Parts: sequence; C-alpha cells; structure tokens
Amino acid sequence: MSSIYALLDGFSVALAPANLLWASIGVFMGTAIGVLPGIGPALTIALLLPATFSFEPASAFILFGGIYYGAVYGSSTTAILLNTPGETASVVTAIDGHAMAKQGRGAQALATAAIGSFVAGTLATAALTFVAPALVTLALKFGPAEYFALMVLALVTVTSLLGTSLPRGFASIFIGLALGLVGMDVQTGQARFTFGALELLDGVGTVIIAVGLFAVGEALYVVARERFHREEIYAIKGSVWMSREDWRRSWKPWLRGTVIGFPIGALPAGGAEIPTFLSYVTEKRLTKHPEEFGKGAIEAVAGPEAANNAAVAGVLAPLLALGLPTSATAAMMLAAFQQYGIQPGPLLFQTNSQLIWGLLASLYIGNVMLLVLNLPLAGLWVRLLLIPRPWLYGGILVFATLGVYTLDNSLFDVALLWGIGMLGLAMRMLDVPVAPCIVALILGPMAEQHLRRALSISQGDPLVFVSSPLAAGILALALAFLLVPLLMKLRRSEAAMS
Amino acid sequence: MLRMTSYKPYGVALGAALALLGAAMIWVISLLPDTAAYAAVGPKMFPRLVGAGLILTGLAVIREAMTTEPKDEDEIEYDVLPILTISAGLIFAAFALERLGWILTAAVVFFVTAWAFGERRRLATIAIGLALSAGTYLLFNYALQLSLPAGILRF
Repeated sequence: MSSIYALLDGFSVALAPANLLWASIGVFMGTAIGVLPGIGPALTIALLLPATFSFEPASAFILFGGIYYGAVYGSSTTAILLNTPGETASVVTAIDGHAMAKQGRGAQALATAAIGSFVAGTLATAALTFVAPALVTLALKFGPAEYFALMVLALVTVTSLLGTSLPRGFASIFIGLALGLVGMDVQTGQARFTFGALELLDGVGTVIIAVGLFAVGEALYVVARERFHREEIYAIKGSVWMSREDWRRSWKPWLRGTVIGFPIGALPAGGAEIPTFLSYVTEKRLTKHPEEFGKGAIEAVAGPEAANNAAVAGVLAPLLALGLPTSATAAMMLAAFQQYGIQPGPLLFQTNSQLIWGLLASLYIGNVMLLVLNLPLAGLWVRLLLIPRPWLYGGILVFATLGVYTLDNSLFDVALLWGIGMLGLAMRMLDVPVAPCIVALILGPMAEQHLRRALSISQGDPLVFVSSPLAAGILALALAFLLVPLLMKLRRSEAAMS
Repeated sequence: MLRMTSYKPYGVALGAALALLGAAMIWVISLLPDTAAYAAVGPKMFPRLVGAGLILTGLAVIREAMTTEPKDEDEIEYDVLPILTISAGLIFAAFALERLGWILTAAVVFFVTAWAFGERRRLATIAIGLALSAGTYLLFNYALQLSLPAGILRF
C-alpha cells in the first residue's frame, strides 16, 4: 500500500511544470533518436551527461527515462517502414512489420506497435512500481558476496543470451572489464594500467567509451559499408485505422508480450532483445495463421513491440533497486547516478524517494505522451529520415566531440575518443558485440569492490561464495546459463552425427 | 578496399590478440610493488582474474574460428579511405580545438565526415556545419554555462 502513497507523491514531482517539460523533451528526443539510425538511447544519455550536470537530479532522470521509453517507440517506426530497426530491440518487429508495409498495411503495423507499446509500457511500469520496492526488501539482505554473485550472473546472462557467439560475447565482456581497470584503485590508491599518464589516473571515462564505441565506432563502420548499402522507404497507403480484425488479433499478443517482456527485463538477464524473440516464437505457435508469419502477420508486430517496451520497464527494476545495470542504456543511467554522487540500490528508496518516485510517475506520463506523439504522427517522424545520411553522421560526430570535450575540457579525451572509436570499428568488423562491453565496464569496478570486501570479511577464504546459500544459488544459476547453451549445442551436433 | 573473405584468419588473429592482452595485463600488474597486508585481496587480484579470463576467451575464440566452416556470406567488403578521412577529422579536432576554437573545428569535423559519407555539396555542407557549431557554442556557453573554446574567433 505504501507504494501507492509514494507513487502519488511521485506524481506531485512529475507533474511540476518544469518536470513535465523535461518529460516531454525526453520522449520527443527519444522518439527522434529511435527513428534515426546511428544514434540510440545509451549514446544520447552519454552525450547529455555533461550538459545535465547542473540540473536537478530528478529532472535529469525524468529526461533520461523519457529518452529510454521514447527510443523503443521510435525504433519500431523505422523497423516497419524501412526494414532498418533503429535499435536491436526492434529487429524482430522488422520481419513482419516491414512485410506489412510492403503490402500497404504500414499504418496498421505502426498502430499495433504504438498501442501495444502503450499497453505494455503502462502495465509494466505499474509492475515496476510494485516489484522495485519488493526487490529492495530482498536486497537489504544482500552482503558483498551476494552482490558479487549477482554481478557475475548479470555479466554471464548479458553475453550468453545475446549475439551468436559465446566466445565473442565474452571477449566483449573482458574488454570492458579490462578498460574498467584502468586508473587508480579505490581502496589502496595504487595506479593500475595508467602507464604514467596522469590523464588516466581517474580511469577512462564511461562516457568516452560509450560515445567512442557507439558513435565513432558505428560511424566508421557505416561509412566503410556505405557504398554497399541500399534502403527503401514505404509510404503509408490506404486506411490508417486498425480494423476490428486487427484489434482482435492484436490484444492478446500485447498482453502476452507484456508478461514475457517485464520479468525477463527485470531479471539480471537483461536487455529487451530476448523477450522480443520469445514473443515472436510464442505468437507463431499460438496463432491461427502461422502461414502469414514472416509475410506480414500483425501478431508478430504486436507481441514483440509490447515485449520490448515491457522489458525496458523491467530493466529499470534491478537498476533502481539493486544498482545493477543489465543493458547499455541502464549502464549509462547508472553512470549518470554516479555523476550526481548518488549510488542506486536499496538505500536510494529511502534517501532519494522523491527522485525515484518522481521518475516512476513520469514514466506513466511519458507513456501517454508517447502514444499521442506516435500514433497520429508516425508519418511525420519518418520524414526525419529525409535528413541526408552524410549530414546526420556529421552531426553525430560533432555532438560526440562536444560531449567528450565538455566532460573535462581535455583534448586528451578527444584523442582517446578516436582511439576507442577504432576499437569499436574493429569489434564490429570482427563480430564482437559492443553492448556487453559497456555493461562490463560499469559492473567491473563494482564487482571488484564487492569481491574484495567479501574476501576481506572471510579473511581470504573463497568458500564465502558457496557457504551463503543465496550467493551459491545465484552463482549456480550463472553457471547454468553458461552451460545450457553449450550442452544444447553438443546434443545437436551429436544428433546430427548419428 | 579491404575484403574480409574468410572467418578463419581474422578469428584466429582476434583470439591471439585477446590472449596476448590478457598475458600482458598479468605481466604489467606483477610489476607493481606488493602491498603488505591481505595480499589475496589486494589491487592485483582482480586484474589477474580479468587477464586469465582474456586468455581463456582468446583461446575459445581461436578454437571457434578453427572449427567454424566459413560460409559464402562471410565475404564482406569495407572501404578504407573514408575510415581514414573521418579519423583525420577527429585527430585534427584533438589538436586544433583549443587553438582554432570550437566553431571552426566542429565545422571541419562535420564537413570531413559528410565528405567521407559521399556528400559533395560543399557550400551547403559548410553552411550547415557552421550553423551547428555556432548554435552549440551559443547554447553551451550562454545557456548551460559550460565553456567551449572561442579560439581565433574571439568576440
């Protein structure tokens, strides 16, 4: 019950005129960057960090929350009309959504995506309102050993569930962990991997790495492939309204997508991609029209779009309650908390309840704004794609330079930005996913602190991670996530042999 | 132009690079002076774990590259020239930003990037680049109280 009072209190924060303005700027920017290729929510939040430093924390997070939600709405628009998902979470939407657009049913695909996103976003935000405080109660029982186990689980699941190759996923994780080690050790003041450079004592900034990998690395990759790239926009034709039949076929996938998306987002299994795949498979199994799948089935748009919005709300639960980021965007939001000297986690709900509940309340408001912004205006958003790509990427790199330079007014950082960009280019060319690297970069230093704290308490005895049932259970789960895909692969190849 | 025709050599190179990085980390961290108390949980342990992880990952990547049969669609072509062009623009920015100032430097980054992406309308690109850089300069220096360098355009 106390959640409801706290939420009402949160609405009084979120409905303050200034914060309403930030929420609307956030959802507007979020939709725009969701539509535009080459720029996503993690990058946008990274670029905004220096500019928002002088803001009230509550306003900044209301802005970031709007961007995170908005990007998921916006990316479905390009996935459907252009077959280029703005974000990875809309890859599945593109399959049938784009097929619908080709048949002149783009408007219906956009509508079921927007309404489904609204339904799922609202229900999942409501779930977040109640799950987050419950997680807090659980988290208060956690010691360093449990936190370390949880971080190991998050790192394992981020890799094993994402991408095609487990070794390459782990390569990304370990590159992130290694980058996170650069700088002064917090406990002893020992400089590690700085090679005498004073600029590196504070570590390689999270923002520089995120912007380098996402903006510069992406731009370099795209430019190298530009000549080989072709895309076609499909205009919206015919009736723009969903028929009774469309509604009938959409509402169950919306609800199932929500049920699949929120828990997976909330588990430290992270990200919005997996639930979209699961939702697609589920709908394909349950539908009466399996032959339409892949050729423009409305269920295949409704379900995954609901799932990715629900997952985004889910991701916020471990972020706010445990301080545990499970997606690149959540990692950047954690970096934003750290910028304000706030440590997300169970205590946050007591020390900064206005901030937390204001953010949660503004997510409800943001969802309503997004429905209004996206349902009638989808055609307008697509016009954003008329910006010539050379100018778009020119702008992205100008903002990348701007964001990195204004962090510390340091030219060293600008040079480093290019270096990290080249690393990002190499990773993309070699099929190493980039997102796990960002999550590992943020989680690494936290995991090290918890590991060392746990080992100091146990006086160096590593059995501390097994003697606590909670920690042991979480680690066993991590091991299972690691081994199950391997075993399944083994069985499949054995089956193929016999 | 760079043609990445086969998965194998690049995968092996990636794995070897990761393993080398891990080994180098373990070596570099062992050069640090020892801290007296609690050596097990000192500042060296976690880097060693990460280094060991990198070596194992590198070996796994090599194994994967050796056992995966290359498919036809693995052949991907990349243009190298535009990568170098954009890189030159960014490195130029790192040197020129505080001397030339934000407005001119950012306009150069914009122009060079757009050029690399194949944009050939010079005047329009220069105009948009200058508008963007001047706009951000005014926004950051007057509305957000962050200081971007004025450089040679002092006014």
